[in-house]
Amino acid sequence: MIRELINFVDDLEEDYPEVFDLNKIPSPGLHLWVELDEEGNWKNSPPVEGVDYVIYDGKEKLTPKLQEAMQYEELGTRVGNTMNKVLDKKKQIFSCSPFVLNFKLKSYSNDKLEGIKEEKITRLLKFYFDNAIAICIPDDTAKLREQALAFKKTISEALKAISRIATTIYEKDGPSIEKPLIETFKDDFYINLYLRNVHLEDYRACHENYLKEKLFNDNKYNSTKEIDDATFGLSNFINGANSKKMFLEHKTASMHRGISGRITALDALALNKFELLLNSRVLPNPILPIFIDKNEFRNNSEIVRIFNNEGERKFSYPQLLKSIYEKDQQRVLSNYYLLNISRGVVNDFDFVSNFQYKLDEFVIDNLFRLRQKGEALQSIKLHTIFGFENIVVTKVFNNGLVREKQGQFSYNYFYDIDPNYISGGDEIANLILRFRKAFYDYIYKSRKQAITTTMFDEALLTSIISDLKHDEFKDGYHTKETSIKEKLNIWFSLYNKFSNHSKNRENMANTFKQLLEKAELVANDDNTLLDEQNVGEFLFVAGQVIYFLLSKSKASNPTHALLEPFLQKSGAPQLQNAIANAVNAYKHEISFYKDRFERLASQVLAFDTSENLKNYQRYLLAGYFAPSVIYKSNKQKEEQPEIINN
Amino acid sequence: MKTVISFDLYADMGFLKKPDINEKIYLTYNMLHKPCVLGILGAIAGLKGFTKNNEFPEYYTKLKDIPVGIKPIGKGCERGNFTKNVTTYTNTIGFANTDGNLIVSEQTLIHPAYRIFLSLDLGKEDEQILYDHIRQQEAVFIPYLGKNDYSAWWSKEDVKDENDNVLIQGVKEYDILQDDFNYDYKVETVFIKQKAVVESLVDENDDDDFSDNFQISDFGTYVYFEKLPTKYNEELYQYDYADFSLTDSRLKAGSLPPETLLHLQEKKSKQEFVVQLN
Repeated sequence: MIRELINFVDDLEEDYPEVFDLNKIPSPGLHLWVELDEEGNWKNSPPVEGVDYVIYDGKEKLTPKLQEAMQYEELGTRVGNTMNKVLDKKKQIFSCSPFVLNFKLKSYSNDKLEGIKEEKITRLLKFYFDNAIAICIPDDTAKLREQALAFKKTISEALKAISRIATTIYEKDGPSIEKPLIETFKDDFYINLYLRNVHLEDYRACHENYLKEKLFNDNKYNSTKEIDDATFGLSNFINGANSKKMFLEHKTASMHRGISGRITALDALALNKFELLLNSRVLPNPILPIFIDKNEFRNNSEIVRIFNNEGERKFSYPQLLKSIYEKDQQRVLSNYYLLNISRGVVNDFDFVSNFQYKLDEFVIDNLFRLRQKGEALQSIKLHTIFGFENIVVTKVFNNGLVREKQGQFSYNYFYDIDPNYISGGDEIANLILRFRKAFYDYIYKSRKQAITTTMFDEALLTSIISDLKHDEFKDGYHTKETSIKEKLNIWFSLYNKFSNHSKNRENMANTFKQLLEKAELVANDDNTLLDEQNVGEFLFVAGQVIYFLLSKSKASNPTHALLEPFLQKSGAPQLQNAIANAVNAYKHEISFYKDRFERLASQVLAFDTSENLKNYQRYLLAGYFAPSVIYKSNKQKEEQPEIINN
Repeated sequence: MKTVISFDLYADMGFLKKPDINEKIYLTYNMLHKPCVLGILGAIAGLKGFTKNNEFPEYYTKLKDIPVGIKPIGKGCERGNFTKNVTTYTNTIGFANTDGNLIVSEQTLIHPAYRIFLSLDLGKEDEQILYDHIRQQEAVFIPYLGKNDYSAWWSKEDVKDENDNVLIQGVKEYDILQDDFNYDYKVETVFIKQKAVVESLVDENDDDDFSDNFQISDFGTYVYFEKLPTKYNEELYQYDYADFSLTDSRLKAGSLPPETLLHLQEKKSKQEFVVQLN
């Protein structure tokens, strides 16, 4: 993986060097330049706002003075995101340069270490500056060492001066109040001090020395004592040598001085740049396509450029691809690695041979006649793979894998799943955990084999049965009816779109229509019989009969959960017994439609098959939720119970 | 005497650890690579593995010069790429660590399978043993794909389904045909690319205008790329790498060094194809 990332950074440096300066802002808080006279005394005291110091609230537009502050701050930043590579052993000082001191207000004000405020920071200075001078300043530059030491001496005085800086607070409808500046800062604001006497080039040289020293995880593994570009060492990029966890070490290798894998300093530098790019949010996140080699057609910079051209409103990965395909309909994205990384953790890294953005003939028919505001809903055509994700995946997993909230989508392919926040609870949470990787591979890597028909069937069936169990009847509405019918529409419409047997698999949408027609014929004609070999027909008609019977229930909460016992029957005799019992229970309610009902019920109760009905549950569900042919026959006289969207 | 044989090595799962990162997750190579194949061959032949630091194991010193070719196969392989899942192990008993629980996530290959081509010199004792063991479907130590949880298997005879389709090819032996490769050819195995593969692909639609906007997919079905270990660095005892590719397209004559290519003919079926052994 790291070789691909190194190539990625190299390509960006060559084709889109501006990216390394994008989104940079100074840290929020105070930035103060200390200027010393020839004796090493603080010259610009007390400091003047706008000249000697500047305050940044983290939001305002960058002024030239703030940009200058950013330049100085950058030449003292640490390697990586953690405090493992800082020069202060107590890990309170963030900066890593003998000419920069940068710490959080939290470090200044908390009581974790001895002392308070200036006193506490001053106690850290000896180790910090000794370390910084030793690492960053070459032995032959005595002047820089003297300047660094003079800077160190002035810091205590400068911190006292900072604590005296006051600012005016304008309270709403109240008097203005003078307050110490520091007291107006949030805990995560920074105080930055820079030495103005030293030229930026010297800052840079010193910082490069720091980087060389700290780029590797630990210098004891280095191939050479002096570190240059070709020195091999232990990578620090999502990598470590934790001696307390020996099983994390690579043991089955001929280790050279303790480890079995090293990278060059130049590679380590590129990986550090990659981390900085991630931190500054100029790369699509968390999903980033990494094209192998720009000689193989694609240029990495294009994706990053499009991402950043959107200004503040950053594209998600699906939006990014949509933008690319809108510009060029014939575009083919192929041969790249897809990296999924968030908060420094790699979730997935895999090769994508050919990304298929557009979908052919993915149409969700409204087979179960869902209505909204009285109007039958239209079929939904899925044009792109992300349409599939936003509509199908969202619904199948009850908004738990892909979550839609006010038109915005969020995704949970790799993080923990909390069943308490998912409709359907543990059952759906388990379903997500089992299948989310397959859906991720199918959508983002175009792995067509990832979702098999078996998986698709199981996901839909489990999800529908979960809805059945959780259905409630409130104010004349079934709370899960719409959800169930949406899922049935998805299941039957996309029934033969997935791998394994798809060529031989029936077109369930057509089958459904045929079954409905057949059920109507059987209901209205004494001479039309069920096909003895067709278990699907039997179960579809059984579903119709069960729906009719359960609709007669006068229970206070006549939910669709009543269907579940019928679904659990594995043999025809058991199902027929259950239906017969239901007929017995509701016989007093059956009068109007007895001709149609009797025709259907008699054929269902007389049907003979030894098949395991659990393999055909979809037909029973289809029959139950399909428009009722029994009610339809008398619809002019009696209204069929309406389908209501919840 | 030199001979070329092939056998299909497969496992339910595999983990060919990349030494790139070790925090939170370990990643796997997708393609089997030569240092890994040599370890498997060592297990089959009964040669010793890693025992000392700064010293190569017996199997490596004895087998490293065997030219090896690898072709991904099987139901888990889609355009050269295998499905991967992340498996997380939690060890809470404290023997594996000294500071709390050990949680390791590994990217795992699902149904990895590879056809391995070997050019063996039967005049050498170890290679003769290897040849015999492979043909007899015997191994001295249990071969596995990356870790010993994932035992690897092969079959000396073809394994067929009820429709007579070959699921697993048995051990095959090949004749090497004389060839100077001065024509466009298709390579069955992964090969080390010398330059951008796109420059080597044969345009199957010669009549079409050749535009600057063409894509790899215009030519064949796919091209797969992976940087894979080729051997151990003798100074640092770590992998040396090369850029490998795999494609179902034909390559132009001269795209690959002819000395690395072999034109093989299977002894029984007389089927011919080209492989690259490294």
